[in-house]
Amino acid sequence: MDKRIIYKNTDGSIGIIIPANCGLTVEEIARKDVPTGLSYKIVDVSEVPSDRTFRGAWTIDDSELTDGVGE
Amino acid sequence: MSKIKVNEIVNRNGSSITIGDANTSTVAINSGTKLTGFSSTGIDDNATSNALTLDSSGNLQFNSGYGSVATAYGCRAWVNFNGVGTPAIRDSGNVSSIIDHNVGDYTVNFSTSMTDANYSALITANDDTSTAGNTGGYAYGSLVARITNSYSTSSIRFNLGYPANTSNYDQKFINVAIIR
Repeated sequence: MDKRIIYKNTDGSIGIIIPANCGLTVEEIARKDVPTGLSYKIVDVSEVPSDRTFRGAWTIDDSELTDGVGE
Repeated sequence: MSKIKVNEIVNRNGSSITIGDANTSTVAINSGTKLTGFSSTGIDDNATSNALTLDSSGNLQFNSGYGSVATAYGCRAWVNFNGVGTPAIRDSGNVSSIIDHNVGDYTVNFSTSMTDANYSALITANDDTSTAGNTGGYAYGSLVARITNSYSTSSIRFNLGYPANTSNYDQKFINVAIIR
């Protein structure tokens, strides 16, 4: 899939979900695999940085996570 | 409901016998009835003497070179993905997604959950020589065990690391297979 699901853990770290071709839509995967209660954003893969040198320092503003909440 | 009692049904023409029609049909075999035509080499419900068995508990058993008929334990989920640059799944089975938590820190989520968290997870990884900055061809293949939250019925989280220290590393070829 050319989409990624971004969410923020309670400790502030960022999780990037890479959906598989499993028969579910990206929205269904987001609801299923984002930890319960955490908000997420679905983006194009091109929006995720490919330079992982400072991967642990990535952050996102909570106001960006508007596409749903993990169930 | 009609019932026909015969001792033998044979084909009149050709080599096949058709049961049912093009609409939805159910052919039921009563408990205690065996498909004995396959005995000794084929399908039966007798695990002691036949090559392929589906027993009453739903266990698939076969010989297939074991030397005896035994239950086959399947690969319940698998995935092959790239953890370098923009992580991406090459292909998978019974996997809904992977999560990139940090460098060398991943979760594999299952489409259909396992019955418990006591499965065996086979995880391998290696770098390659074609990407600048990678440690040429070194097969890390090392699982840094997580103290908590590693195995669950719906996912497995693991780290990939270099044996000589405790740092995590991304790898280009990461393979996970779940046996249960």
